[in-house]
Amino acid sequence: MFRRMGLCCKTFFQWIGVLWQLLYGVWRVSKLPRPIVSIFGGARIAGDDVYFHKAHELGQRLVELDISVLTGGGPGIMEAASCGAIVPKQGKARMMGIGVTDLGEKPNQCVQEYFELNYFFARKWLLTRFSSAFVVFPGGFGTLDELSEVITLIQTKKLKRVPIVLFGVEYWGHFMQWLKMEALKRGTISQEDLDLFTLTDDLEQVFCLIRDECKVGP
Amino acid sequence: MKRWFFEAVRALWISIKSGLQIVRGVYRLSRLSQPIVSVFGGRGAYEGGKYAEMASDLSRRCAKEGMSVITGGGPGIMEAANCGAYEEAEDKKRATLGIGVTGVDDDFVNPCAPVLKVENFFARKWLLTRYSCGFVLFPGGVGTMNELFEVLDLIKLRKMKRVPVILIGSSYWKDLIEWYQHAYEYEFITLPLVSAFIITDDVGEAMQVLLNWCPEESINK
Repeated sequence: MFRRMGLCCKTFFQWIGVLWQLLYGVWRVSKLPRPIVSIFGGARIAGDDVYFHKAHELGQRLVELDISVLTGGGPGIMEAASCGAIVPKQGKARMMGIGVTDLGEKPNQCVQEYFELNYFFARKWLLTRFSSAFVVFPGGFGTLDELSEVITLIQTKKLKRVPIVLFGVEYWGHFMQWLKMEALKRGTISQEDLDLFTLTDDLEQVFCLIRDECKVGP
Repeated sequence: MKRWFFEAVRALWISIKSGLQIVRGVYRLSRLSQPIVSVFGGRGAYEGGKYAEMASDLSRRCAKEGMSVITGGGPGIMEAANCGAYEEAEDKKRATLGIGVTGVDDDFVNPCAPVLKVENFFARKWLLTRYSCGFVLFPGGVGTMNELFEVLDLIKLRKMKRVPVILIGSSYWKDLIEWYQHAYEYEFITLPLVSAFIITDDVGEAMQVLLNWCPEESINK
């Protein structure tokens, strides 16, 4: 009996900690000028990889178009995107990283606005809630987690329909095959939801998709 | 007024609501018989109900060993798992629980388990992942995949203690495994396949793993 009440109280106080973090995060992220594009990707990628350069270029061109860039603030693809997105003085776009404590990862050297949260779900919530497009570079568990969370939220209409771009045809090939061959065939995902995301290797196509949704530029 | 103010008020409202729902959920979970096993899976009965039968079989065996089964509370695999545990358990009130999300399958009534509805997906995942001693995943769509990778991510980054993750249906997960190997070669994933999860077609084997891992666990300790 008392143990059970103790457990509930513990959860309650834990949640109060979460609440402050969420509020602080929302305050920071909602000060970013819209539109916002989130870039996800793996932390373990070398600086001479082709995806690294592509992420760098993408970040750079997004900021030039006055689109703010939101990343996980870590190394790898996140670093490439933020290094590209170092903001020129005249623009109003900003770049922000949201990290998680106790990972042993330092924030990368390029990120200009950075804060850390204790919980992964809080980070994901903030990374997905305010964005008008998602670009997913090759990555591991965390990236897959974020990608599938976005699709689930759109499927269940908890998030409005936004474009999701999977970058790297070769890397995501097997994954798309799994979705098409197994998941679609057995009806665990609908064709409508598959149409949400685009598999590409071409930055130009990424821009044209994002611009349609963000309603900026020509 | 500034936009951040409205956003913050909205976030405050959402977090207070889901905080209360989580505390309520933890209370309900602590009343279940311990330990707790989570069963994830899709909303359909795939391949003529083959996987649904396996889910039902697995949760029957869990209930026989005094474990309780929690699911997402929806139709398909989740319903089958709930029903298996409910039918087999001696103490039916403490055998099983579903944790659903409002706005998804609202008109579905689970015949076997009480379903606790929470507002947000993160609250549901908090309740489904934090208090279980093992995860069993049946074929499912992106929601199932999301839960799988969230668990793996949290385990890899030591935000959660190591628990067994069991995938059932080797033919269904085959292409995803291929992708996994590919990503492992690229070094995006550092956890080798054998230590990440167990893939099997045999409910007995899954049960053996759970029995080796779970018996002493309880969230009421």
